[in-house]
Amino acid sequence: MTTTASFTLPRGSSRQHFRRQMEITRHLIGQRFDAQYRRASLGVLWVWAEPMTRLVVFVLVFEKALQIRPGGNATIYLFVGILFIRSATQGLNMATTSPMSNSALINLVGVDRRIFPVVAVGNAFVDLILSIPVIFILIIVQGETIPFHTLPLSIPIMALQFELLVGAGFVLAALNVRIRDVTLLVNTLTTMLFYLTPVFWSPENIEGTGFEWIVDVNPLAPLLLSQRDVLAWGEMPDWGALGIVFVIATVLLIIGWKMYTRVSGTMADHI
Amino acid sequence: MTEQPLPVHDDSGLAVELIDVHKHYERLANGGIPSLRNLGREGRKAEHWVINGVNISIPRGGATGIVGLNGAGKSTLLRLMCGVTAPSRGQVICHYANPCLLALGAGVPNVLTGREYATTLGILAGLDKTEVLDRMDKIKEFSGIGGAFDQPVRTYSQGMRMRVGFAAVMHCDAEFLLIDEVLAVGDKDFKAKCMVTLQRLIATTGTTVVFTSHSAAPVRKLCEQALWIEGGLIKMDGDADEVMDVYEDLDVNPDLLVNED
Repeated sequence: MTTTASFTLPRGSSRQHFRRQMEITRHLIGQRFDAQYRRASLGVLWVWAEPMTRLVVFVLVFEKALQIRPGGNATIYLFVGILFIRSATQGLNMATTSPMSNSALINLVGVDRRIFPVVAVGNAFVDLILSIPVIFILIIVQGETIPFHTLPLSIPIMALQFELLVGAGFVLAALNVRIRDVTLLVNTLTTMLFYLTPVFWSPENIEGTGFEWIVDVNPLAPLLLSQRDVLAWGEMPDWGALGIVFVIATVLLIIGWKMYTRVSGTMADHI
Repeated sequence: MTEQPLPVHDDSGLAVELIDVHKHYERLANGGIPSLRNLGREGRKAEHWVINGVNISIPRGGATGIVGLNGAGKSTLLRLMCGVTAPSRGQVICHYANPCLLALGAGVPNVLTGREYATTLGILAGLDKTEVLDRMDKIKEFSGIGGAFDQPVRTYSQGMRMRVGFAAVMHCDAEFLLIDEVLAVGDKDFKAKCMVTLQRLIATTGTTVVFTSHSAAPVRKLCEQALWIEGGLIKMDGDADEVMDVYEDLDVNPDLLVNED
């Protein structure tokens, strides 16, 4: 369509618009949280149930049966890995399908459709943040010490993960509006991502196998390793690797924003 | 409302303008599901033109009725006016920052309770959450559905959904209301109540209302002006009573009555 087509609202209200959309984002994240947990009899305990059961299985399978030793305290290593990769895959999957899962809202005025992927990733982050105290409990139970001096660094690393996921979420959701296969593709990819990111193995485990590049091409790998450094080991993260992730995330965010904005206007016609 | 002053620079006196607006929907192969197959040439070709070049100016304040048969393009027109969907060609200029669309079946997440649904509608209409919660008792009372207000929307009838939606929107200080056919499912009492409330809103707060209808009666009752849409074009517009007189005469397709003779 080369001819001009436009819809305009009164000018000068973009800051107000942003504030409103933030309010709606908060409301939607809270609403989903309520629906999922507050109404369940065991409430928020369910946020912990899933990663805890995974942890038990993983300790049994990878550490005891397959004898994979990732270095450091294996239980803590596994749990931090599980939490962050779970949040990332959950966020990516939900962001990809967010235009469809919000189909009810697409037909209402007042909500900027660009908040859907943000809400999806935000939902995954709420679960993640609520699970972080369990890491500390685990550290204490395992007789290790909580690294208070590096803990605050976890926040900017999480913000970077948020940026990366929202950027990727915009790209995938935009594609998904026109090609529904993307939902299934992302499901498959996130399953792969779980095994290809150092969750239950460490980069040292694959040294000399010729597969070291798996860690280098995966922007989630440095994020995960850095979170372990600051939350569990009390070490400085690899700032260089995080810098590269920041560049990738920013590029994805810009491209994704443009792609998503383009499909946003006629989204109601396709959902 | 606390944070939504009228844009003072806007002295056009208009609520919304449509300038040579066209709209088509794509008819996709593969049963309408967007997929890789539709990116090829064959899948994409079919375009279904719903609005074929209309120029409309709706003035601020008062009510405008849009009439026409099923598939004439009424709902699409309303969706274009508030930006739910973008035009394929032409320009839509909405002079209100927060238009508010009330349509049947749209925007009802089934898992929510009536109360939560009303809260979401209020926030989308431009209120803060606390403002909506302050008005919740009034909204509940207006909806008249009693205890069902705290039950999931999926258990509601169409009429009850409409009641909650209408009740929420009536209490959200909406300046520009677009109502798509929803009055049709309400019972007589509720319809009358809605009419009275709309009339009061228009008279006291200067609200602009645009609504679609198959039938002429509500248009005569509420509107000063009317638009008659047929085949995506304006067949007639002007004074509501004049348009309705012609519309009612031509409403029924004579072919359907042949068997009666």
